[in-house]
Amino acid sequence: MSYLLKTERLRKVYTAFDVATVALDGVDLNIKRGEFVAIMGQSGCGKSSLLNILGLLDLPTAGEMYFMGQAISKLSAAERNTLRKMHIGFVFQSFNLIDELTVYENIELPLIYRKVPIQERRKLVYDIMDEMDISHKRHYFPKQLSGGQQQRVAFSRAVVADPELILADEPTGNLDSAHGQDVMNLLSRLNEKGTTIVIVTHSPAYANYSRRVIHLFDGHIVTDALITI
Amino acid sequence: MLKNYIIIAWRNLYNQKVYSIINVLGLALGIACFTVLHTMIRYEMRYDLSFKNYEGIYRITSNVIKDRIGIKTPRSAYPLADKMRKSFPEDIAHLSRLFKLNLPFQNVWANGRNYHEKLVFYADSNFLEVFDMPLSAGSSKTALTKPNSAIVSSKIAKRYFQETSPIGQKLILRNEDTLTITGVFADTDNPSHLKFDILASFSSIYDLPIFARINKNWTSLPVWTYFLLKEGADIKNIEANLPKVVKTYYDSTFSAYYEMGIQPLKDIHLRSNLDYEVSENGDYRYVYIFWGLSLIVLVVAGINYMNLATARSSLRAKEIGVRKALGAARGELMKQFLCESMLLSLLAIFVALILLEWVLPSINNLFEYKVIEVYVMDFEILAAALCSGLAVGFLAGLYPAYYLSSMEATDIFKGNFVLSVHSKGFRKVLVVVQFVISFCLLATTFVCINQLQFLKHTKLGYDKDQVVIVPAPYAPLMRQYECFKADLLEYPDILGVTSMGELIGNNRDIFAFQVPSCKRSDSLEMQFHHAMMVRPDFEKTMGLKLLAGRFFNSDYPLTERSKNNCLTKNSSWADSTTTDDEFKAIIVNREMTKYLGYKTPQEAIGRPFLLIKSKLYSQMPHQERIIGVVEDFHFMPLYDQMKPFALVLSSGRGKNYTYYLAIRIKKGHTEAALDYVSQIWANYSEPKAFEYFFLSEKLNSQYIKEQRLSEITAYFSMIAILIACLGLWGLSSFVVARKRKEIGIRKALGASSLSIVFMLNKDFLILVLQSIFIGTAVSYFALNQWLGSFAYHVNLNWGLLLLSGIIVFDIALITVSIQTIRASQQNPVDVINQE
Repeated sequence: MSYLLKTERLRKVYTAFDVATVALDGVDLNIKRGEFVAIMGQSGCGKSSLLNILGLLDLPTAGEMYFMGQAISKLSAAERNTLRKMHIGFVFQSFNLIDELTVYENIELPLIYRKVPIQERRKLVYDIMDEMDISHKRHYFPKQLSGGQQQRVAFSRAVVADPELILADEPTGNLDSAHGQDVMNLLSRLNEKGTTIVIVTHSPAYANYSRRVIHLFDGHIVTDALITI
Repeated sequence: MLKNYIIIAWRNLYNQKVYSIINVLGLALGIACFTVLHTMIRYEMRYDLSFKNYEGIYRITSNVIKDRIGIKTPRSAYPLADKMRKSFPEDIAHLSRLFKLNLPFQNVWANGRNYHEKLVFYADSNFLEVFDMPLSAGSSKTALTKPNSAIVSSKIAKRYFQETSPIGQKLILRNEDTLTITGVFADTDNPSHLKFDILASFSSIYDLPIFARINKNWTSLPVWTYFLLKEGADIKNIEANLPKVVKTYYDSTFSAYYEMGIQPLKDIHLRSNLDYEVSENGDYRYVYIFWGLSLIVLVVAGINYMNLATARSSLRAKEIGVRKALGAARGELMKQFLCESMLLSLLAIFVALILLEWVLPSINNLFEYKVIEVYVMDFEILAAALCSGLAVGFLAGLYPAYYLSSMEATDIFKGNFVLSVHSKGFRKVLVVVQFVISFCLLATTFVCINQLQFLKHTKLGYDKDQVVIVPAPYAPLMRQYECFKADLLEYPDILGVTSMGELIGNNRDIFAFQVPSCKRSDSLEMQFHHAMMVRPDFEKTMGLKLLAGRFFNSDYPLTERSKNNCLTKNSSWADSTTTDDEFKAIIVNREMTKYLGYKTPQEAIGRPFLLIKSKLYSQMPHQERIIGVVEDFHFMPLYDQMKPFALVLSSGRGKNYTYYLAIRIKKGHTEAALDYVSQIWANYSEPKAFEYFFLSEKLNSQYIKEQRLSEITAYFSMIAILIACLGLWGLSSFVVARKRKEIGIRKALGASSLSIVFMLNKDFLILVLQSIFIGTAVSYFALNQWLGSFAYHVNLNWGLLLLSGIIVFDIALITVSIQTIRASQQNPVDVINQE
């Protein structure tokens, strides 16, 4: 199995008001295609910083990350942007749906940025809405939906373009346990189809859906263990 | 993608109705103002461009200047045309002269009725070959070829003959000349400095005495001479050879002071401001001012959009973060935000067109501006509104697009996104720019009004109030002037009666005199001076102040015999003297005595000052000497510095040319006195209807350009302030909304409503105060420059700048306080519980 993601001595330092805060400090990590990885740790341990770098939203202060074999420090912002839109899907804790767009339009957005032709776009959006059982809400705006429904829309948007990697930051954080389990089941099903999943979670129960759990503490990986079933 | 942009733009506009309305309204006002001003500018710039050959048409100008005294005029000598034709056979295709009798109007008898027409001109037969003015009836090739033929405007053709065909109809001018109508000018929307009601063939005046005087006279400059260049000819060739023409044909005494020039037709309306223009011209400086104003109002409107869009960027942060995470490149986001601003400007264009539809018909009345008939569906109006709207939408959208698209997704998701210091600073600068502009426009308006009032009310050196002017050129009654005057003076409330050749205050006449070459010498030299022909009692009627010597003697008392002759049309007076000063006396102003080198006015008394016009007016020898010196008075508009001036007593036939009767009436008795004058007028069986105007009103109307400028800046400064306040209102409401929690906590901790209002107002009002400070400096500099362009002007009044500042500050204070007072009244519990 080839590596999809690889980091070497990854370091991320934030500086505010002349005070430097080390978020990640020498993180070495390999993620292979098809893996289901959960990243755990306390608040402020660097989970989200790591996820932002893995999602090509941010650059490390030092060290290197390779995505699909390409060193990201050598890529321009536009090239990183292209890699992200073609290969990565995001699921956020607060859903981050665009309030001014309907369910259909929110899901369609990544396909528009990928310049998928309109006919194909419509088919893909309807397929995923059917799969997520939200077709009847397609003309609704996010504020007219329940939390669970919003998360399903956010999930649909993340997967509609069939990305190779899905990054989910606390995807169950704003959901009750039933809806939380639904989301984790969806992620598992996607993983079974071959999509690489990386989630950040506080919950050991949800971490158990993954095959590998990485614990972060003060910007270091303290444990990196495979879960055996 | 575009559909997605438009959808989200539309929903954003819809969801944020208040901000959208502020933006759309501000932009619409800006676009509407721009379009109105653009229409005015286009109209001004279109003058004379409708003639097919406008690029090849030129006019000959004349400068007769000696020692800074003289005349610059677009007119030239009558015989010059033939010599020009002979001198430049290879260059000039057609050359044609235009002439107008020096009368305020001509009496026209047509179809059994009497009319007064001001725009009566005479032109050479080939005039329409130079200017291809379309005719709706008659042939342009033959209309002016025969003597006593005339082309009339379609307006007067309708007025005189209604539905009957005007061709072949007769017009009687000044009860003397009969003209036959041979053509009718077609109605056009094309502006031109050539405006005619009647254009008669030049040959119609060949028999008039005036023609005998101009026909072979090289020193008189009565005609406007236009010529059309041959194709391929170079105007520089003609220009270079003009001095040779002057040298060849002009008398050496005259040519020493005479300079001939050429001006292109297309420059006449905006760049020619000479004495004796064909019609009142425009001014290119005002075109620049209109351009400046139109752009300024657009900038103020554009700033509103920039300010509100960047201030509200925090509300768009999540969307930007998500789009970036989903792969939106910065360029795509910029396109999206630009698309929003363009959509907004399209809406604003639509609203602006509705505003224009409503406003355009009244523009003419508002600014006394002849923008003729312009409609919203006019291509130019649509193009101006569309182009200005889209341009301002694009430019104003650039900064917010750049700024919003620069946000980093990671900052947004971490909640670290805050308005950057840079953007806040930039927004403050924009608010300051808006209010500096508003302040400057308001200050300009006040100073314009101040200057206009100064021009209208400044002491002119004579008393212009209570003087009624009766234009009476060629009125038979003027042949019995002395009797008529005596009858008028019998009425106790008529304090003085005189007559003059030009209207005092608007006199541009230049006379040639024989004057001692130096103050002690008796050898005479020719000098040109501004002068006016008047009849006795001029100084009494006008209230001039005597410094030395005496005024002209009054007319001789009427003898019984002449009184009996009063009511008969006896014209033998022309060569008789009616005062013993005739041919002997000249009165000059103090400036003239200084010019001639006399230390005191007294020194000038008795010195020779001979009028060189003897042959024209009488066979009597001229022996004029200075008999009196009057205090300087403004015989010309206040644009010009005081100049040496002479009052010439009309003598012999010269009395024929004092066209304006001036009657001073006692204050408070005007109406009754005018009734009396009208009765006396009727007693003399004068066929001309009794018409009059008040001198003060006529003189005030000279400053129409300044009046128009002050009105236009007044309207546009009000609009600019309104737009700026709309923006300030939007910005303050946004800040208040963001500070609701802070206000609640402060109130819970015991802050008074007043202190809350002060806290919220402070930041805005500091910006407005800074604007007033900067605006004061800018307007002080700019307005002093503008005032400096007048020979006589007010000193820049600090009180007016202070007043502008107080008004701008108060309007801003009210605008912001509407928001902040309401916010200060909120119950702190509501906010704290909500939080």
